[in-house]
Amino acid sequence: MLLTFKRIFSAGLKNFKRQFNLNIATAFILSITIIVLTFIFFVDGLNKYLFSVLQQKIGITVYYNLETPTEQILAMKDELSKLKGIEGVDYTSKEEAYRKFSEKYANDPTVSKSVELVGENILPASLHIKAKTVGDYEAVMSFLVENESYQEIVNDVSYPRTEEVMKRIFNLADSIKKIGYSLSALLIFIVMLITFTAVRLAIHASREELSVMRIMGASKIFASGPYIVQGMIGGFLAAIFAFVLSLAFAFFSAASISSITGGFDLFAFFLSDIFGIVVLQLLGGMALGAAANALATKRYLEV
Amino acid sequence: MIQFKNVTKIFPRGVVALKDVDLTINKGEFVILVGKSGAGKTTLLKLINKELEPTQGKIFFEDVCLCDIAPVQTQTYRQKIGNIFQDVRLISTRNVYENISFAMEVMNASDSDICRDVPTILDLVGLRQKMQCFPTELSGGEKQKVAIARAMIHRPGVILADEPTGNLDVYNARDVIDSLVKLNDMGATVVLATHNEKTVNLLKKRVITLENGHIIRDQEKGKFLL
Repeated sequence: MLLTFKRIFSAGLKNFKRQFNLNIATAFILSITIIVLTFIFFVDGLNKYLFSVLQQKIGITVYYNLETPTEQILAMKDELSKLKGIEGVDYTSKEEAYRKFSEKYANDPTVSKSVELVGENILPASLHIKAKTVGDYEAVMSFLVENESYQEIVNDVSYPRTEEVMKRIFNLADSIKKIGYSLSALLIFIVMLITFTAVRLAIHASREELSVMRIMGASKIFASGPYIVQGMIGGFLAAIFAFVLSLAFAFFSAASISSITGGFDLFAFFLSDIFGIVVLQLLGGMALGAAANALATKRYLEV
Repeated sequence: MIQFKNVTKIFPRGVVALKDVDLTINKGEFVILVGKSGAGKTTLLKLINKELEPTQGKIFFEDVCLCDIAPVQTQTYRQKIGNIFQDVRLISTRNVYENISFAMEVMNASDSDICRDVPTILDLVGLRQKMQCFPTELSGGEKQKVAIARAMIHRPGVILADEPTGNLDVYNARDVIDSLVKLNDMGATVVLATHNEKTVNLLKKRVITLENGHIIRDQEKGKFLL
């Protein structure tokens, strides 16, 4: 068995060298598929980033009556934190709210003058609640409505006003995600079809040789093995090419993508997931090369 | 050794290639198949090689019905046979040495056996100096000699030669036939399909004449008769 594999591998390596131009052309087509896969990976990363940014920007804010004691608010914070699906609850005291407000309008003389005229802090303490999903906000609202004791101390809740908008935004984001995945699947299908057709055409030239090998008593794996090895080597080279190209793209386009998307650093994303990308490209390339060659040779082995 | 019992082969579009063929080829025999194009010579060889299955009837090889050989065992069966084709069919991406060693590799021969036997057989066909050449660098006659070397390297019991001299000049054709006779003298059963009248008459071997899928003549030390 070991001898057979050694011979298959050796023949595959020799075939690759001897049909170098043809194999490089096939590897180039394979690399297009790998690049498309990598870009889909990038788009998925961007999508997740935008989704998280969107999620961070929304939430429920509970404003308290001015006379509500801090202990009561913090007790409510603890209760809310225990709810299922809550990502975080942030407390803003009256003093902090006033400080933030003052800082924000420091350069606005009209607002500053109005604050001076009022003469006291009329900004309430608040809790900002972030849930993991939109559906989880429903549970928070139920919690607030069902506890009558809370209604006495709560002055206002921001959620009812933004509920519809939030739902729409998330539904839109979800739809974009689904459309993106569908388009990606379609794109992968098309690129794979092109790859498999190109490999099939390349193997077509060897159809007689494959049948002769079988007539001579070679097993299917012994006859097709070298072609599969050729495909794997091609896939390996295609992966290296695709890696270099995607690394260069991530590096040079990072600044412009960041400005378009409002902060998504493609190069940092690339580096943070470099292991995953290398594995995706190498395994994807080699598997694709092997599968394309195995499928292309299959029909000529039935002798 | 090889026995056809009432064998018929009909192709999908209804073309009858062989009809009710009964034939016995003994071990060590040299059998020449003659007949017009489409008479059924190649089909008969392909049936022996298990490249085709008979529509009706049975074929026996060393008393084993080919129909009883499972698809996975076909490769082992074929290793007992050496094939020579009119269009040579060498593997273009392998050199002369590798083309011949391939026949030994499929039988799991060791590297040392291959290193010993391949140069020896190349000496026999006079092509040792072209060991590293690729098929595109050889003449038609040289290619056919490589094909013969490839067919005999693993010492098969049967050699099936389908028009091996069809594309060769008289000198190379003579060499090829001489090689087949030598193989037969060494004990191999040879089944040769040919159109070459001179070759048939010169060999004075058993001649089976096919016409429209039927055996119309079977002569010991026969001649080419139309």
